[in-house]
Amino acid sequence: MGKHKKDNPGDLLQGTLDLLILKALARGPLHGYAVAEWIHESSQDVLRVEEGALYPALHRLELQGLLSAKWGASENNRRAKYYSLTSAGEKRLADETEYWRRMSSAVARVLQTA
Amino acid sequence: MEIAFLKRISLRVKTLLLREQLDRDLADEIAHHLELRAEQIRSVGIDADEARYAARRRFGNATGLKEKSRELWTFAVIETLWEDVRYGSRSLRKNLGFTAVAVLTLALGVGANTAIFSVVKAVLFSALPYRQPDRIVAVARGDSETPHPTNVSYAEVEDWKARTRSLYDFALYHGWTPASSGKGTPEIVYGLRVTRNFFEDLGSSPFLGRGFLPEEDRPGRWHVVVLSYPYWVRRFGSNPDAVGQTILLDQVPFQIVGVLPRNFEPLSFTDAGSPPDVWAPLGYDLSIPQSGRTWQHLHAIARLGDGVTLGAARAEMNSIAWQLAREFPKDYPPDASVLILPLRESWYGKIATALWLLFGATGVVLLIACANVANLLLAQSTKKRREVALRSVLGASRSRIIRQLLTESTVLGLLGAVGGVLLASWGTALLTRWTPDDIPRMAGVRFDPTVLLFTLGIATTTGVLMGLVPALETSRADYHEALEQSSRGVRGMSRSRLRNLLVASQVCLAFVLTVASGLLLKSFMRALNVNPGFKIENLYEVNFKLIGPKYSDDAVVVRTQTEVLERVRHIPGVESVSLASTPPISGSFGALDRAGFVIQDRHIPDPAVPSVDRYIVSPDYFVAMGIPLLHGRLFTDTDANSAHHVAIISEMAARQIFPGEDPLGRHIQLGGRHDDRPWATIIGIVGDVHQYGLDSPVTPQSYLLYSQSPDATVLMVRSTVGSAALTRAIEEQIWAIDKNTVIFNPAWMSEILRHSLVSRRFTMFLLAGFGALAVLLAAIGIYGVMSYMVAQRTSEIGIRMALGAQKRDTFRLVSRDAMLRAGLGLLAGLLLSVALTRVLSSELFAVSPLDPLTFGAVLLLLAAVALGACYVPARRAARVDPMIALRHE
Repeated sequence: MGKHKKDNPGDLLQGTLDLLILKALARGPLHGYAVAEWIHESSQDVLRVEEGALYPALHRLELQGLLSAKWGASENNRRAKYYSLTSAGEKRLADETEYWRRMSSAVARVLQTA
Repeated sequence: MEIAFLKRISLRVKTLLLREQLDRDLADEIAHHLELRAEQIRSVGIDADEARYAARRRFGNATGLKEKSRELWTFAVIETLWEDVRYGSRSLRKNLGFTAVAVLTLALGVGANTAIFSVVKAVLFSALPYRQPDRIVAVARGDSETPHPTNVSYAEVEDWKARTRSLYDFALYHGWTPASSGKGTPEIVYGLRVTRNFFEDLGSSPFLGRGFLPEEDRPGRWHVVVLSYPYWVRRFGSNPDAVGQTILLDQVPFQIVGVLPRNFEPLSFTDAGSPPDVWAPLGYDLSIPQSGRTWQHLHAIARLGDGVTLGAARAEMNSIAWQLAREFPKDYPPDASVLILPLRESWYGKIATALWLLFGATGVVLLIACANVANLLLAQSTKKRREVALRSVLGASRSRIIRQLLTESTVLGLLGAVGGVLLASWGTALLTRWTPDDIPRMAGVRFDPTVLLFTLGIATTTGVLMGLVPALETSRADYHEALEQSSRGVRGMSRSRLRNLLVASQVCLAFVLTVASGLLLKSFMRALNVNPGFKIENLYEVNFKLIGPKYSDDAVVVRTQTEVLERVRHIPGVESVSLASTPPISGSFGALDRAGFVIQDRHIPDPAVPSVDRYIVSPDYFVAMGIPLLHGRLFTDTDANSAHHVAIISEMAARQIFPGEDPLGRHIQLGGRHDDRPWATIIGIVGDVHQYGLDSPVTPQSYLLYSQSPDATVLMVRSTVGSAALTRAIEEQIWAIDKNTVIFNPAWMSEILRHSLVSRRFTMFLLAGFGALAVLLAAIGIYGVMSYMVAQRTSEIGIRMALGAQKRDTFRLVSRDAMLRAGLGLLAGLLLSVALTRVLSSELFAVSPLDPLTFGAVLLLLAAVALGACYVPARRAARVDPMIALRHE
């Protein structure tokens, strides 16, 4: 009966998973598995998305209107749900990327200070 | 942004509607993912089964994910609410017995409330259907003798109009019952005579034709009528040409000038049982004798001026009355006053008390029902403790659990509401049939949205109210204790104390209601036993009305009346017959006069001119009615033929008006001093008669002979013949004299008497019904709690018995507990009743609000009921077999 209110993005920082998903979809529509794989590969196996958390995140972004989804046939000719960025999603991606850059460089500067 | 928002909403709504589709989609999505993952794992050389496991392991809890996604999609609040409702209904279904009892209990409570509320709303809350109804007031001259003065004279209203600044638009009206002749036998038509501004004043005007013109509202000029809508439909088949036609009323042609609109409601403007069908101008001016200051037979309404408060208007009008009393000391008592009431209050003021009382009573019944169900829920929740504890341990928050339990009790409440509405719709049908005529807006009683909203409101409130206690209790449960199987025998004190409190308050409330109905019952009995002052048995009353121009001569009227008496006296089976202007206990119909009682040798203001009821009777009236002669002598036929006027007064009049004097031989006039008119000599004193109902105080009365005033139009016949045959025989005899005579409203005095108490009977029966319901519910409550306690303590009882306790001891142990609780409730009820019954006093008759006999009887009754309710469980306890009880553990 208990509910877990808090999202649990695994090893990733809160909010980071959303950014990564948006980024993954920036190049074109993908299904869930491909999103997970893309993140995994492009981070050179460092970031591994907890797959159980991926789908709720995708659905949440869809509800927020940042993604749109369409059912299509996958490479192995199965029914798969393809997600793509909406224009709101693109804008959010740009904002978040910018924000992330500033944050990470700020954190890096702090860490460099002796 | 807007669009995204709309899209989001539409998505959510879609998800709500397309549940299954979405669940399937999600399952597909997950399956697809797992398959691809398994393929990938297999590609590094792991066998298929192993790969599938690995994929699933890596994916994590798919069910949890589904739940999470679903939560995302849908409106979580609605979802969980629905879940709770389903859960609640399931657990209610599981305990059908409990549910049935609880729903029935609530249905009774809610039903009673809804039914009474629908009446209260129709009668007391809805605005009167007139223009600015709250500014309309009823104005009457104060009269300390009458409980509910409503009368004014034409002249005094003219005086008021000239002097007041706080009231305007005075309109006068007066009951009118002409006989309409034409086709067939003439019949009585109910009507009103009104001043020409009457309709305008109420904000209404005829929808066909016109209202009355100023020149038509004059003596001798008022022979025009406006018809009511229903009468127009009935008599004229809705023919618009009716306007302009002429109808014969009392054999005088009246021109129809207008028809009132359909939505015009005359409400209580007439005190006759039926709404007025014909309206004619009042036709008064100051020149006619009926306009005189002491001739108070009219009713008045007026409007409060802009910004004038009721208090200000009262102050001003009373000072005007005071001035008038100085200027016209012959016509007014020195303490003259004016009574101003909002129209609504003037009509419904009396019934309002009774309705509020009943409304309060149903509220109490509902509270008791609530307590009952709360107690049942409490018992239920004990069974649920383990389940709740388990949920808590598994991470459900307290608020979540409370919400769930409250949902369950609210579902119960709503089920009760459904039952209640069913009961109420049946109940209001019954109510409308039963209600006395003096609740005039009963026709407006119906289930409209407001009533249903009210029901829904009380159902939810009760649901939450009765669920709250057990919910708070249960959710506070100590998990360890609850989860341990054996923690049955000894219960936490707080729960049993709570239960005790509930039972005690039920008994307390039931006590209050029972005392109230007991007091009303006693009042009713007292009223029934009042000696009306005359003999009721076999007394039949028939109104007749002589119509035609020849009856404008008083001598002809008297001659005809004498002949009527003579003929009816000879009908076989008729023991006696007499004539009266107004029969006793007459509510609606008689032209009862209250007249100033002027004594020739006593001058004003020495003291004030008293008012008396004025009866015009035939000489044998007292003998025929069985009214005893106390002093002097009765009227004789010689008096009737003599030019010398005589009068008889009642004992109360003698005592009030002639204290310590001998009234016999004194000369009096009724209705203002007119030295040019003959004075009547008092020749006798007779017993008092209840004029305004058995439960109204006796008023001073005076009797004049019919030969001196042609107003006696009611035949009082004592007969052993049945009503139909008797009426036919009387009609035959009267029509033999003049076949245009209208004969109407025949009734046995016993019926009239019964009818005069109908309002009291109504309140009494309803309250007694609610009282009985309250006692029943309280008994069920005691029984339920007792049974539960016995069940809970079976093992304890077993041990006690194993240790040598006797059956009697056990019985006493168990019932002592219950009686202690009931005793507490009774004590509280006693105190509360002492504090509250004063509210009832206006409804009581000849009974003190603290009547010790009633209180004592109720105490005994409820103690007996409590004892009875705990007898069965206590006996069950006494029969406990120690072996079985202990093995049970």
